[in-house]
Amino acid sequence: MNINTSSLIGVAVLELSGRFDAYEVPKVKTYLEKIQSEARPKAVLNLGGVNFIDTTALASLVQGMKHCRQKNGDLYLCNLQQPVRIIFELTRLDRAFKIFQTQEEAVKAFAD
Amino acid sequence: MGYEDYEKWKSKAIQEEPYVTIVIPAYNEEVRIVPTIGAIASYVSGLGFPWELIVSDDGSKDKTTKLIQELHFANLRLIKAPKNMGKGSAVRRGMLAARGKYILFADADNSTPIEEIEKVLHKLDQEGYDIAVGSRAAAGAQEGNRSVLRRILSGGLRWIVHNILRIGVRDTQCGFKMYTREAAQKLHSHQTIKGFSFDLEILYLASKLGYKIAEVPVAWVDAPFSKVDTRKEVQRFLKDLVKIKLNDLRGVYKKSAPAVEARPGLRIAVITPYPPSKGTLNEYAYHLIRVLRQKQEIGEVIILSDELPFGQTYDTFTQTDEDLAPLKVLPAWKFGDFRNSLKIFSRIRRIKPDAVLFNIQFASFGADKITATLGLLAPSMVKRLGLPTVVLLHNIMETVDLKSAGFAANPIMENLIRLFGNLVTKLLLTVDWVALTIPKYVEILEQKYKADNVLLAPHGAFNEIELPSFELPPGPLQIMTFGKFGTYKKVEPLIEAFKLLKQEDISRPPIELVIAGTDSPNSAGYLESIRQKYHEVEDIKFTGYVAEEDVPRIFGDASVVIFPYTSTTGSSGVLHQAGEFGKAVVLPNIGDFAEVITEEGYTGEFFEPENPQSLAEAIKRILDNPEHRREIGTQNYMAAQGLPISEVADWYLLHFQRLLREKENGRKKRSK
Repeated sequence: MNINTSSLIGVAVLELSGRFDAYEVPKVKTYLEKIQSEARPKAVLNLGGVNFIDTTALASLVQGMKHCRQKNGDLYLCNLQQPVRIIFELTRLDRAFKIFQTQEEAVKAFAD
Repeated sequence: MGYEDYEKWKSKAIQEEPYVTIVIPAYNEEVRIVPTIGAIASYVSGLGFPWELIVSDDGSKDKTTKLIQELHFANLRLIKAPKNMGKGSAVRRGMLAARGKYILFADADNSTPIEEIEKVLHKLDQEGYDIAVGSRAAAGAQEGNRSVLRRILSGGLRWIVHNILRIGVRDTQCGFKMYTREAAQKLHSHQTIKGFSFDLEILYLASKLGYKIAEVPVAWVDAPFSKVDTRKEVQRFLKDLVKIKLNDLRGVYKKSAPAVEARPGLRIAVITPYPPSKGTLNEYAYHLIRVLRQKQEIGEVIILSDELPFGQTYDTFTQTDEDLAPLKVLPAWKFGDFRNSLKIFSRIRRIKPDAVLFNIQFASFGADKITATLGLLAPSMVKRLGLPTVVLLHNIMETVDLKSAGFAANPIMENLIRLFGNLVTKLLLTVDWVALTIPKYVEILEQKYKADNVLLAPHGAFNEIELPSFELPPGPLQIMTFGKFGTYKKVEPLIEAFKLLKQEDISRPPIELVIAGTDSPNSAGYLESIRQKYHEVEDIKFTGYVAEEDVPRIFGDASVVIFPYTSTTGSSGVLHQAGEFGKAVVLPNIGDFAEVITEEGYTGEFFEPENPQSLAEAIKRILDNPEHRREIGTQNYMAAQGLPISEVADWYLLHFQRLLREKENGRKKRSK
């Protein structure tokens, strides 16, 4: 899996691509922990290139989101491919996360 | 490919033959199964052909089956094994249950992405291959996360497979293979290996039988949480390899379908609804067959059950267990179909059992007069095949209030039905024995029809359980009714009685009304109409269909069990269950019913049918007097223990053996 990072108006953006499963969780966690160390962590995960996500990966995202919210920040998701969107629905995590169509909308939501 | 395709697939059962069936074997896959189903459903729904998904669970001990059931997907079937028997056996069950023109077996971890399906499908539907094997060894395949050890081992094993078994496929173990249905079902019906190396046997057989096999390069990821213990698997792989070679030398694969090893003894066919069918008497059949299979004299039990609604399946088409007689469940007739007698007759003619038992009542085969009557012709037709045939008839036309049971709207119709009923009863009496559970019924048939082949068969108690504690769980006192409602089991008077009890100004713990069960097949929509009519009444709980494993809890939690019947159609299975759990009961004061239960040793408080005030009084006598509740519960418990169903099974066995002996003697006499 590939991870690209960038920062847009104070929001950390992680672009992931490939299969996101337990093997890839430690890599993503390292990035998320770095973001969470900030005073008010704001992160956007762009899952546009992810075609499969397993439950360990989902759990790592839930944990990341919780840590961000504890410090009045948040972790938003965007650009979900259909299979990944359906997996979020089936695990009912689509109700736990704020999910946006595009990266721009997600970043803008933090600014608003 | 759109989200709408997925929505449609998950909510609407396909009516036509599936083009593709995908079979996923699963054992303790609670972590991986939902994402995998999501990924598969999302992708395959967009490919534009009808398809179904089968998850073949291999006796998981975690939440795998629960998670799958909670999805409620219209085209997803779950097949459950009674215990863990190995991946090969799970794949086999799925393959044999699949209805698709092409069948893909895919691992539960999605290690080969489902996007590769088109590659293997193309080989079958465009290039004429019988089998397409996903391969990590073929040129163009991509492997991810694979350990060096596993790479070396798989290389070595490939060499052995190629040189000893002479299988041309380089990667035999990849969990992504597609077959034509003909090939899948032929190969898997010959399968003897239940564990991980079953693929090897299937491919060996496929080569031997001359099937055209393509090896297709696919992407593959060594998914996390792999359950393969490499060292053990290599040992088992080598052992199985030897077994396959030996099997072949011994001619095992030349025999036709050795699926179920023959066990000596009586092959008995039972015509009955059987769970998860919701047909009346399903539960009685479940318990009777459970104990029949434990008898050494029984070689095989073949159930001819009713077809289930689309999307549902019998837990397994063939259940095997070393200590039990093998069980085969064949959906052979359909509730409400006018051809049921013919269907049953021709199926029995094909399977040629040693003996036939019908577990039926007058409305077993249909909700309307015509289909119900036509279905009842089946026993006399089967008898003409010369097979020992016994009908266990749970009610007789003579004692049924047809109007209340929903079968006759006016007196002329009622008389007409009774006339036909007499004819059908006469035909039923042409079988060897008609068994009835109530002495009065035996008497009626003997007197009215001068029948000499009518027997009293005890109903029997389903479970042999410890003396119950009679303690109730904390929380509201539960007033419970159980069954299939709408015809002669009406809950309106019960709800009215419940309202009266709630209005009372006395000190009593809070009360709750539990309506456990479904609509009677003759009264679809009844409970929903009740729910709407009484939506303002608080503390009423509708449980819906109660699965077998939930029955003890439903009865255990009840303070009192109510029988809101307007007429009765025979000895009550629910009353036997209430007895087994030591429950006090409230019963309608209908002559026949009171007589039946008294004869069997049960007791309860009685009420005037359809009279809420009388019912409320009867409930109060139990609810407000724990000592009385215990007394009634104890007496019912003792009555239920009277004759365990296992002894009832012996009773049937004895009669069949006698009939077979008589048949044999008749044959000898004729040949002299």
